[in-house]
Amino acid sequence: MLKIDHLSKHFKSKEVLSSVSLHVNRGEIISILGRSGSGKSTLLNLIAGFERADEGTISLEDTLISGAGAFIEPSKRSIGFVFQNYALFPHLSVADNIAFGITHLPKNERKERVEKLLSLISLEGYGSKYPDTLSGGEQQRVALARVLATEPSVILLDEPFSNVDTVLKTTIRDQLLAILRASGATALFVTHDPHEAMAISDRIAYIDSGKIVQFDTPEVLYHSAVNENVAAFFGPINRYKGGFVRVEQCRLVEQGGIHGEVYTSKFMGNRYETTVHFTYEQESCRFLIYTERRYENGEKVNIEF
Amino acid sequence: MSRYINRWSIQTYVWVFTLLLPAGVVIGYALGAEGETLRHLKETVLTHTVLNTLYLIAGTSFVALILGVGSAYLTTFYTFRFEKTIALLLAMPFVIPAYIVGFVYGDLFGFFGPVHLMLRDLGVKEYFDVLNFYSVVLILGFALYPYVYLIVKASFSKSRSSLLYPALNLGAGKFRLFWKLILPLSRPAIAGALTLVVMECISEYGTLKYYGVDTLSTAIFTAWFGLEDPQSAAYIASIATVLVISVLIIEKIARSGATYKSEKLLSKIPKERFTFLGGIVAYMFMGVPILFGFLIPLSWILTYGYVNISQIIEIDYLVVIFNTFVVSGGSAALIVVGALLIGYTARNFPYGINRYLSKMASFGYALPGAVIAVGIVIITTTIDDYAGENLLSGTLGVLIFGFVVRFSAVAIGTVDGSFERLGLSINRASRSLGKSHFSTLWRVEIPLMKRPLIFAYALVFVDTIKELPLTLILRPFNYETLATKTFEMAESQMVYESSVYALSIILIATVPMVLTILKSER
Repeated sequence: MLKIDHLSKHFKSKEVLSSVSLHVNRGEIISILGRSGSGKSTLLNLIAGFERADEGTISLEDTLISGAGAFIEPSKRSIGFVFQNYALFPHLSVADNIAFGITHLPKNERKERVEKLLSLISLEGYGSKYPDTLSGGEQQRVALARVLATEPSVILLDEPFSNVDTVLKTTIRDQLLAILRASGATALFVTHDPHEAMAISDRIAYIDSGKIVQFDTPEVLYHSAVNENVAAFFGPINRYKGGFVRVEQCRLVEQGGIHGEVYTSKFMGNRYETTVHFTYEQESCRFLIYTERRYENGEKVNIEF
Repeated sequence: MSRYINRWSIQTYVWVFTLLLPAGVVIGYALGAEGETLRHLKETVLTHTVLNTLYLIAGTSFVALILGVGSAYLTTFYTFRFEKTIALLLAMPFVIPAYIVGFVYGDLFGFFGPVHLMLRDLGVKEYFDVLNFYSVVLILGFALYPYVYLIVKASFSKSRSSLLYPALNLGAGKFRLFWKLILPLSRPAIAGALTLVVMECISEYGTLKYYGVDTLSTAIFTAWFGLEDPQSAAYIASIATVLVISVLIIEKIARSGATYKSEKLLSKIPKERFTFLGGIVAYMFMGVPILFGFLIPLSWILTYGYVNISQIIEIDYLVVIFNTFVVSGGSAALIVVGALLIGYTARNFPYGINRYLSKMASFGYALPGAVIAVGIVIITTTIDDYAGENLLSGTLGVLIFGFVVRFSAVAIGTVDGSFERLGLSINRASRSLGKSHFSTLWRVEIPLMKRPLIFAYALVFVDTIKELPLTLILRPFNYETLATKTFEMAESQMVYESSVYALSIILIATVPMVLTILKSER
């Protein structure tokens, strides 16, 4: 229901997005994953209408909202945006923040919806408080409720957990996800954290240098990455001539496999990390392998992958 | 970039174009100038006035530089008794317009003034006429050095301790450190401050008129009122404009290569104490500008203001106060609204020409009031001639327009800064929640910017109250404001009576000064 086709954007002479296409289904939660400067935030700004694309089209529910001569203002797009810094209005109470986008509704209805949302985000009784008295996680839920109030077709979230304490991150993430799922919303997250992307999304769009490299389920991206870069982004890999393999898919065996020699072996708590040298297809390789015991330096081993 | 044209941009273009129109007209008019008066002008007045203007700039800049940098250095790097009070007093000459300081000294050193009375009592028969060029240099220097003091002090206290400590460690003496490190690092600030001083010199009228010194600014008046020759006035005005543009270019060059960004102060620079002798010299150095730039003029005004206090219940005074508030209040409101328009467009549609709108709209601040006034009169008389009746000339709207052209920059700086602090996401949040640009500005951004907006309003208000030359040319017939009344009374030998009006200006000017100090202390 959100269709992005061949979207391109330049800043001065630099191409930030080049021919990006992305089709999102109703109720899906999608992550746009990439390193900083990959163009992921620009993509979000183009969808929201804060910036204009140079080429390509965006349509929402079969209505063209950007491109081919059309440009619908952000205010008329039915797209909600949750900002990295939450962007709550500091001069308005929590209730007024949530009601901000629905001032056209009659007063009773508005009040009812605000109450419902406050209970959805578990902040009953917080309506008269002001944003600066809330914790980061609470502010974020208010920011989400403010967006949900308008019942948008799509919700965009820009690095929503980057300002959150690492200790609380998982809890806050689960809360937010539960609220999103409960509301049945379609959502696009921007994130640079592969674990976060895997934890929250139905599908992940991996973006690099302004291009979408792979767009699929977390499992496919993890296990069948289209290239080394994507694979390495999600977790450690071992490289060899003509390919790569995930570290946890390599092991040492008693017999068979390729003969190699242990370089180092370190205890890492839940496992040992053993580095092994060997020759493969006439090229010397160095593999990291998770093992269950410490190996001696120089010990002869057999590697299987 | 045509696809970025929208209603906001167009409104802003119209506004900025209107603000630039008077300067454009002056230059255009001057280019078409010919005739007898013009030739006469070139042969007689022009060389003389241009040279005088340049001498005035050089002399005043020198005085302001010494007083400003010196006191900024002492108050930043030393600690001493009454430090805070002295730091504040050093900034105070700001609130007294130069022409008022000029009248005060004109009276004090006049033939029947206290200085000569005292000298005569002591048996000195000679009369020293102070109504000359050198007095003007001193008066303007003492009135304008606070620009240098405040800007350079701010830059000094941002000096990076990350640089200072290693230098001290390497054994650089305090004084060497100042010359070799701190002063060069503050070059952009000094260049910026001196530019403001130079602009004020080019613009100055009241003091020069009173002391009988001819510069470009007074020559515009002479051509305008004396010779009734608008073309010559425009021609002189255009030379002043060229001078202003040259100064701006020189400033740009002086600043170039110096793009050090001032970092946040990591730790306070260690302040030193004076030695006994050094202390005496330092107190004297700081005492001179405080005494002559502020305390003496203020005492004089307070004394005669008190003597003439009964005036404030006279209808004349009340009318003048009312007039001043109407014209300055109206102008300041328009200017703040315009600054919001420009700031909003520049920030939300930062494409192409939009990025330069603030700069363009600020140009009027660099121009002398008389130049803007001449440009506006040319515009209004042209329109009136075309209409065949007196629609604009001599109306209050024309005077307000003049203030808007000249003082928009004051609000633009503040408004742009507060938009920047607000960030983009608040705006975007509101718009993605279905609010239009206007509604976002009105319901979210203006409430959040209330304090800086009031501050900008106050700053503009005071600047318009002090402005003399522009008001003299553009005001409706017999329409008196505090500035024109002070000037005219002082000029027509009613200098004691003018003190009440001068005092009113100073009291009003003190308000934003206090606001600024409170703001910086919070």
